[in-house]
Amino acid sequence: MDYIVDGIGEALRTILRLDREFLGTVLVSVKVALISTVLATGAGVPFGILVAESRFRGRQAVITVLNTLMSLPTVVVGLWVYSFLSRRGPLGPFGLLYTQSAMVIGQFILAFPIIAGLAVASVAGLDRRVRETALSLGADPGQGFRMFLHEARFGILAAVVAGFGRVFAEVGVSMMLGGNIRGYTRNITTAIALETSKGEFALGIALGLVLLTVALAINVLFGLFRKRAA
Amino acid sequence: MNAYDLKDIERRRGDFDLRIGGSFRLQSGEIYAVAGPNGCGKSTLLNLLALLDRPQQGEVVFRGEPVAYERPEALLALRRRVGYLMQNPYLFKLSVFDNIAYGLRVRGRRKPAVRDRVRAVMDGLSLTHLAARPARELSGGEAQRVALARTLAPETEVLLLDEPTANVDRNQVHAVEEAILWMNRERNVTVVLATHSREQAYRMSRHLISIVDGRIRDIAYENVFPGTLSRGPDGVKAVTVRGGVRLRTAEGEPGRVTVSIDPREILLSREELVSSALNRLHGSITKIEDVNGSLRVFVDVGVALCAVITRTSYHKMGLNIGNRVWATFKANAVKVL
Repeated sequence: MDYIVDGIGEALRTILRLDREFLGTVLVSVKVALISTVLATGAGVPFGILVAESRFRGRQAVITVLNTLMSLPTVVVGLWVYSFLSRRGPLGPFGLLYTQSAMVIGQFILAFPIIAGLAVASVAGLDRRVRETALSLGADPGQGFRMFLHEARFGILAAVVAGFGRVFAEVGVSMMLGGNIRGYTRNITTAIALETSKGEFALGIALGLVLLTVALAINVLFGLFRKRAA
Repeated sequence: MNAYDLKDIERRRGDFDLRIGGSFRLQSGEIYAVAGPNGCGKSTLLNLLALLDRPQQGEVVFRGEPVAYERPEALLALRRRVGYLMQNPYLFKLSVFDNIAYGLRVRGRRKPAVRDRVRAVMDGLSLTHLAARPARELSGGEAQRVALARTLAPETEVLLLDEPTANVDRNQVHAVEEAILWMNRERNVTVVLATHSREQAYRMSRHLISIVDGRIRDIAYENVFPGTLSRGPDGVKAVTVRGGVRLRTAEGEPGRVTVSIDPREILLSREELVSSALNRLHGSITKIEDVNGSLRVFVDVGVALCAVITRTSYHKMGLNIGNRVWATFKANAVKVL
């Protein structure tokens, strides 16, 4: 048991002295997750609004697929994207495998269905009178849509936060597509996996604490937005 | 000038049809009450008047301008001259102040003008103390008043109000009605008011638009009298109204009542008619009005009684102001409200 206690103590020291490797690893996680979340938001939110607002054949099927993809296993995404990016794959010539770009692609695929799916739910749950009311008060269609977005904002923010939480904590995509290259593609989760298998717990525990803190913050934010959206 | 001219309108919505045959006018500066059961087409009519919805057939003329539905900018300019309070209004997730300011802001009013106007409207509807509150946390009555304030704020030429006093506390109804009447009286705003309360309709308006089965009628109602209903020795019910005039009626329970008589059910004659009608009143003509082709003749029988007759019979009878005539109508023409 001693090694756990020692590990925790060493972990706290690592955090407090702002260890270079520790900070770099956290930074990679934050950067890659942020970029993929921003991209997935840019694509997923408009897509979600479109699906929620329009009536077309197969709309329910699209929603079902989105909901299914929300729990997509990360290793499956890793496998698909790997097969596209590897030297023999169709995108092989771009040399993206084992780069941060590859991680962003994989995490985008993970975050998109979550953000789009939750955006559909929050927009569809919005009061139908919002836009009508805006128009009845003299808004032009653009102003009406802006009010509509304004009313949906907390639900959409909750969707974005959930997407970020998902990619920040995932390990499969980062490991398979990033390759856990020290100082480049090594992020919190892949580092924890590596350190643990090396039997070195201190850095792993320190990184784990960061992960937990972020997860907690995300859940608090998510709950807050959901409450405001209701 | 007419606020609206509706010509041969047809609006189909699923299995529901609103038809307005011929020409239907709403005069500027008047207050119209819209009555009719739920789902009779009230909202369809109000949506048309708000220019949010367009008829499949027919023409809508707003204040002399034919509405061009296919030109978004022209349509928007007309829409902004109309204020519309929808039934069960929705308040935005904003403060009370920002909700009320919305209509002014989308119209591009300047900040100081917005602030002054919002304050004035809040003051008139006793909402000032709620200004900073999130609108979604208000009680039903407060929310309704905020929604009305929001509709009044942009000072439009026309106000369409769907149940403006729904959920409003009894002691606030008067203030709400006053605010609406004030806009009509002082700013000459045309008001179309949908209400379930006949009393409110009578209190506030002189015109009743009735929609039955998607057909629309404008009844300028008159002959609304408060009085006391009692049962006579002969068992016949009679309502004693102002001036001691007794109106026989077939309905109602003893006590304070308000009755109305459809002006089209009243026969005018120079000689007393011998008939089964229980009400025969004698008086002299005080006023004659021409409304949409038929004549409204007011007879002073102790109260001013209005009868509607055609132009032809008017000429035939050679009626004039000051003539003494008999007004005859059945007991079941006297409706207890």
